[in-house]
Amino acid sequence: MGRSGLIILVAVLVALLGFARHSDSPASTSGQDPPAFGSSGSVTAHLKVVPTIRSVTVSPGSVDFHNCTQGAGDTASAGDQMGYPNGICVVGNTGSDGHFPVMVTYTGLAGNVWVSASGAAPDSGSGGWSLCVPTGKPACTGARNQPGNNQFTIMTFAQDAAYYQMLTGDAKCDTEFAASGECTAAPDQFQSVTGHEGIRLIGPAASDNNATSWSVNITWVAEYPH
Amino acid sequence: MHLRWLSAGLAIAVGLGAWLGFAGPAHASIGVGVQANPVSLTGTAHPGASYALPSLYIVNTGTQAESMSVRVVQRTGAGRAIPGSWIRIGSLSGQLPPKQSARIALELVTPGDAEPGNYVSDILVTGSTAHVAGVNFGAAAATKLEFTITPGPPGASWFPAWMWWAIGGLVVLAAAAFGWRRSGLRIRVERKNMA
Repeated sequence: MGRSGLIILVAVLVALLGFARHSDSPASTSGQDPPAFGSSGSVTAHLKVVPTIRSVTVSPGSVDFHNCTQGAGDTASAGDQMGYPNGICVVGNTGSDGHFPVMVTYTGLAGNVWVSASGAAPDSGSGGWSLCVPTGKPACTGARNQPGNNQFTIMTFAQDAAYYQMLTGDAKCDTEFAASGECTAAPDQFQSVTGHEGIRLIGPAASDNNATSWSVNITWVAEYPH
Repeated sequence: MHLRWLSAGLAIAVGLGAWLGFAGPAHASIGVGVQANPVSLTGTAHPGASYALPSLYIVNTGTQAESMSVRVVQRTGAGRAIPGSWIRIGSLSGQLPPKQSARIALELVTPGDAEPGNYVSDILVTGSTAHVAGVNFGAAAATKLEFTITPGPPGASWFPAWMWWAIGGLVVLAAAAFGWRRSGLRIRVERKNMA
């Protein structure tokens, strides 16, 4: 073996020694380290990454109205049954013993939560009730800006908001979602933001359809910041 | 004695089953997620052509299978509104199970008279379940859809197609000549004197 061969041999030995020291180092926590001179082991490294979606989840999937009031005479509200004219039913309740059973959870990158509602559909027969608002469009045509015939209003409320938010067919910023009275959702990384809301409905002055069971849809939307 | 224990066990099992059957749907949730990144066309579009858009990622964040509907909705802000008829939306086969994701194919089809400009709208994904009497909740999520239309026929370019072939041929010839010179090979041509 010549002089150059000896130098190469020494270099290889030094490199192997350095590699062995590196493998024993506690800083070496990669997922799959190669075995070092007869011993082996592995460390599982967990990695969290930023969310890449925006989502909204509503729980429960459906609810029934309770505590109906108003109406008059033979058609006054009774328990869970809304009366005419302009019976009022709620999901949850406001006040000191407030109860807000609808949970709206936003997850992902910062964004907005919007909300909209649909007209009311009967479980039988044709002809539904259309949404109206006391001030604005579509306007309620009843007395004192109450819903007229075949009209109704639906609104959400929350503990931290002092007013009801009227819902329409067009999605609007859900001002009941955040305590600040805004619809912004800015969860910390890897977290969610949840709003608790209740629902209040004012029925029509009269209904052309005599159905006794009706359904309404409320949809929450996760939006990017506008 | 055994009969009494059996009856008690049966009653508990029936009660538990009834409670689960009653509480299950009431505590179910409905949820939808969509990719945060906008759906953007790579490059520009031209009138009278069709383009494959990046597929749309959606996820069911609820606890029950949902039917997912996808549609284009207008939004306020800069840019022209995208007509819904320009976007062909692939369908999802059946309902999306809870906590499962899917990709929806999207295609842009521009009419021949499409105006040039920047187009922006939302893609709205709505999840729904079987309706029951009372208040049914829905969940939806939206992301941005954007592309640019430039004038000119589809596939139009500053150079005709044959020009690209000519340029490519010249580059290959130049590379071959350079490589030949670097290799040091020489071809010597001699003329044999027949006389």
